[in-house]
Amino acid sequence: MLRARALLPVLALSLIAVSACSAAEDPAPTASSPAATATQDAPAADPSATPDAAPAFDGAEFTVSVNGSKVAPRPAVRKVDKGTKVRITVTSDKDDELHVHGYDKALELKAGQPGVVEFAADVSGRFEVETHADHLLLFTLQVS
Amino acid sequence: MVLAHGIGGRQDLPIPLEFLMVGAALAVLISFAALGITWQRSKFRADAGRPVPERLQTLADARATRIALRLVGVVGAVATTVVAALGPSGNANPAPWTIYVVFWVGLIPLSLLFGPVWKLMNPLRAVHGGIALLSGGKPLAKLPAWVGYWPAAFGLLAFTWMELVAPDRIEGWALLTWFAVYASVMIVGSTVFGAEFFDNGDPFEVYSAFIGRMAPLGRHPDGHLVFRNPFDGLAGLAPAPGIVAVMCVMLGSTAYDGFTRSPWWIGQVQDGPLDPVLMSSLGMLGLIAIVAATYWLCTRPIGRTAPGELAHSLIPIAVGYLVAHYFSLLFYSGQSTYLLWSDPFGTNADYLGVGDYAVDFELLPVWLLAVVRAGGVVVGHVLGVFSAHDRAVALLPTRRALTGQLPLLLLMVVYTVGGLFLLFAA
Repeated sequence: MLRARALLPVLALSLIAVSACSAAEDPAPTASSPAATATQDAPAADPSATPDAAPAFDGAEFTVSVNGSKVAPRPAVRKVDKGTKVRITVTSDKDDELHVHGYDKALELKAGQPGVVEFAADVSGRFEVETHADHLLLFTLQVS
Repeated sequence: MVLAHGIGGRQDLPIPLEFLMVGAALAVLISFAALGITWQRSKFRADAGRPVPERLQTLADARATRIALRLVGVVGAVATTVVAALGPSGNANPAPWTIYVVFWVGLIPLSLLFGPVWKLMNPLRAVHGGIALLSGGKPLAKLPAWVGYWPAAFGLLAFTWMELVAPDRIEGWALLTWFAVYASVMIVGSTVFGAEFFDNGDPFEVYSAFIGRMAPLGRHPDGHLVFRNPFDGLAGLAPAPGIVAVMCVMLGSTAYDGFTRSPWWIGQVQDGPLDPVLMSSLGMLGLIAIVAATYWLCTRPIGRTAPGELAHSLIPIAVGYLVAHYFSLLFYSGQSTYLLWSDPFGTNADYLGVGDYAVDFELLPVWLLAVVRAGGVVVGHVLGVFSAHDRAVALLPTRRALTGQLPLLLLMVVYTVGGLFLLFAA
């Protein structure tokens, strides 16, 4: 009994640590389109997970809109498994350039028009997805 | 380093939860073990060490070696200046990579291996030498003792602000402006106060000298080179005004670097009510202030001079942070820098014959990076704890030796667990 009780604080601390960290790392996805939400929840390629999506895309889809300095959804770490196909759709309120670091993908954005960049996430690490003009971080792509 | 909005590109994956747990547990265990196996009298001393073989001493002191090292510094500085001024803008230019990766991060392993190397390479010492030749070289005034390390502390703060906060940190004009101001201050300072101004006033020399305290190679005041253990080297760092400020800037700015990787913080900065540069500056100054305040609170009770006397024990902790944050950056972005130097002016040249070699971001296994990063922080902690203990028993009367150093020990545990948590969560 005594031993079990002594272990309790340790257990509690570990639980707090685990839950605090996962809370910080996995904010509830607030992506704009239902398709994007579905794929974010199940980043591992699974075409059946997105039956409603108009063009079937078997990968992880992320949709971000930029309005002034406001990024929606707010910047967070988005995780995908290595090898997943990634599609990033960005709509900005002004002309800009989208940049995926590390993968060195760049894309001209026209004001109000969604720009799409697609690539296979085949290098592990963390990579920032940002706009060039204002240096706004849209999200951090974590490939592992 | 958040070269996020510029160069670099790949950041490390967070360390696994198990590494955080094990590292934190080790830090706590070893700290209390250290209390248990304490020694009563201070053991570490700067004059310890075994003389190096004579040939090594001759080689190190040879005129040719000195000239070669200085040339590397001068040629590197001139080439980087030219490329910063004339090369392409942004991250296509090798200058920001050379400054932030090869020079600033590369100084860490060089100093860890060989000691205060920047003193021998600093190109501004060559400029000073030239001016001294023309003017006769007599200093105009004696450097007041109260100045101490303060110029270096402010210099390091200015450089880390440039590196981590300034919006145009990778642009040639910004780098040239920063280094022009820095070089002017150093040249005026060394002309007025003599070459000794560099010793405690040049931020990069001080940075290199502090880290170099842990090198296996040291030099006795009589000029003899010795092999010595890092504890003896650390114990030889004499307190001087501003020494605590230098340590707080080193620790606080590196912690801020880890902190700013978290999208949460970036969200606060770009979405907050304050101007992003102001917000980032406040965040960095805030972390440095927290380090300073906690350190002062935990060491001042030991005695009036204790914060300065114990400052050397923070060096291993800072180095642990630095290794954890910059190891993979030096490895990967060091290669990128080399590739960029092959075509420094953006003319599709290939001076170094690199062809279409591309950096392979998968070269270092993920588990190895996690071991190095968490291991660096924990090893730094262990070295710091024993260094602090050794100095504390010299400062404190025997009956207070144990209780007196407890606050500092706990603070080090907090720094270490905090550092690990940043590697895990940020």
